[in-house]
Formats: sequence, C-alpha cells, structure tokens
Amino acid sequence: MIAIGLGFGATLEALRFGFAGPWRAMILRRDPSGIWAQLLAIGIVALFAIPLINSNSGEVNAAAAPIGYAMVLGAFVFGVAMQIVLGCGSGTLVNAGSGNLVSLIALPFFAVGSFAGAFHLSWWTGLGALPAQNLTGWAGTFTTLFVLSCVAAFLWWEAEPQLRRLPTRLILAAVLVAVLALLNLIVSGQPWGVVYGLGLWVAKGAYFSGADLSGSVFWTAAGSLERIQASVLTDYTSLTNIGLIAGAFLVAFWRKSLSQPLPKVPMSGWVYAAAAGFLMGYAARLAFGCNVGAFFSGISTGSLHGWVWFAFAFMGSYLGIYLRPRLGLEV
Amino acid sequence: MTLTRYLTASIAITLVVSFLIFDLIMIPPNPYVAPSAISLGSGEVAAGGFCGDLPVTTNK
Repeated sequence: MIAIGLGFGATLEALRFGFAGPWRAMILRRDPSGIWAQLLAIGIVALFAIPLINSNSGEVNAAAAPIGYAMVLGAFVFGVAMQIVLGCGSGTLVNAGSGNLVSLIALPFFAVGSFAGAFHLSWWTGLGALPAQNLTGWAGTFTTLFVLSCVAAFLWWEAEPQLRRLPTRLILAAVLVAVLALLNLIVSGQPWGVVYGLGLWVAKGAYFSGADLSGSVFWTAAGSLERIQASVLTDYTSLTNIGLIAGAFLVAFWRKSLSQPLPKVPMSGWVYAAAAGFLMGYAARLAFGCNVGAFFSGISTGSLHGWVWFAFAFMGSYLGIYLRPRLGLEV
Repeated sequence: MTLTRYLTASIAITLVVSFLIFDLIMIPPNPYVAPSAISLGSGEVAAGGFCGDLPVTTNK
C-alpha cells in the first residue's frame, strides 16, 4: 500500500494532476482540461470497479455513504476551504511533501479537523440523511459513464474555445491515477481515501496521551478502537497517505525544486491556512470524504453521494475563490 | 540566509517519520494479525477504516 501511495504522490507531483487547481482554472479561466482529466480517471476506474464490486461483494467495497444535510454542508465547506488553502485532501499531502509552506501549516490542522469531525459525526448525521445509495452492475457502470460524459460535454460547451484540449501529460496522469486507484481497491478491498487516515493519527495521539474519547460514538465504536490500538502499518488509508507525502518529496527532490526559496507568508496567511485546514478536515468527515474519498472514489464506485459532493463542493469553490482576495490572499 | 523548500519538505518528512516511530513504540506490529496481502480473492471481508464510515458501521 505504501508503494501504491508512492505512485499516487509521484504521479500527482510529477504530472501536476490535482483537484483544487483545475476547479479554480475552470471557474476563473474556463479551462476544463484538469477536470476532464479527473473525469477520465474516474471513468476508467468506474468501468472496472463497479462490476468488480458487484461480483466480489465483501472482499472489495464501494465508497458508500448516505446523502444528508451534514454531508451537503460538509461538501460545500470543503469546497470553500480548499480554494482558500489552494489544496484539496490529496493536494495538501502532496504539496506538504514537496515543500509548500501553506500546505505544511494546513496539514496538522487538517488532521485535527478530521479527528474532530469524526468525533461529532453521529450528532451531524442525526440531523437527517437518506440511506446510502449505490449504482451497481453494468447498468450502474454505464449510467456513471454516461453522466460523466454529460458533465464533460457541458464543460466543453462552457469552456473558452481555445482551451478546449486535453494535454498528453494529463491523459497520462489520469490513466496512471486510475490504475493506482484500481490497485488500491484490489489490494485493500476499499477505494482510495485520505481523510480517515489523518483523523486516525490524531485519535492515536489522543488515545495514547490519555485523552477521554468516551464522548464520541465514532471513536469508541469497536472498529475504531480496534484500529486505534493496531499498528498504523495495518491501516490502508494511513499507508497511502504516507506514500503520497514521500512520493511527492522524492519527485521534488529529483526535480531539484526543493531549492526554491520559501515565500513570505504574513501572519494572517498562517491563521487562514490553519483555519481552512481544520475546516477541510472537519467538513470532509461530515461529507464522508474529501475530493478523493467522496468525489473520486464515490463516483467511481457508484455512490450517489459522490455526485452530490461534486455539485456542492463546486459551489463552495466559487465562494472560496470569491473570498480569497477579501482575506488578503492573491486572486 | 534564504529559507528554501528543503526546510519545509524536511519538516513534513520528519513529522511523518516521528509519528511512525511513536506508533511503532506504542504498538509493535504483529504480522500474525495483519490483514491479507491482497483483499480481492482472499475470501475475507474487507474491514479497513474508510472516509465513508459511519459510527454504526465501524463495528465490523
């Protein structure tokens, strides 16, 4: 799993495949190429993953999660915060590994936010949610591919005419990310995720320093306690997260980009990065995943919550981009 | 002296390595209770933690 994580980190860093940046490029410049690459990767995974899950239920699982008030709110807030930090779930890890100061500030708060969001999760889900709904079988696969194609076509229609192209670099990145995501599913039996592992790291720290977790339904559930008390080397999400950071570091080192000087970040920038990092982690737990666990893995394994996440996080991104200059950050 | 990305990237790697050492000290890994190397075809129910987990579904 660490090797798969290294592959993710190296691919995202070397081929500049991301999530927050392409959404920003579409909103600000009407450049759809990055989102097209995301949709291509999701489509490749869906083509294999949905039938695989259908025929091997139990050994491999979908990213199933319920759609509810908290989920919708979480996706929207995540979209706002990821545009303030300019990094999503995977992006924050990759950017921290490649020496981005803002992501390094945001990362520990992202982890704490994930822990806190899971701590309060049962209260939030109690506000109301539908049962988890998944598209299954070949009908689910083709429905997913059809809707992905419709979104891609809509983006083509909305795009600047001269920007209607998908560079070879992004096609290669999409194929590699899709192959790695499928390997993740086959090896671990679960789709690629990020946020759970970060929250688990903080839960382990809290547990072993004697903090009282009894107030949390989530962290006192038998499965959660079992994972807190097990080696982190047995937690799949943690392993790919470690690989993501290390893979990005190795690529940045190989490229010699680590010798770039650090930008001067004003005190307000540190505060916004920390606050947005915390909000991303907290919101991602309410939304049952970030851009990876909910958007990428949700849609590619047939979960309807992935589509709802996409819609509300994209709306949140509009607000995040609007807020950036008003917070004293560059547009 | 100009601070470069070497500093921040090294801090990120140091934090991860420190956490791993902390975890190894607190919980030495036990290969006899490790999950299957490859879940697909193992015959076992995948029970790892995931972002979509609800409190009730963590009791696997």
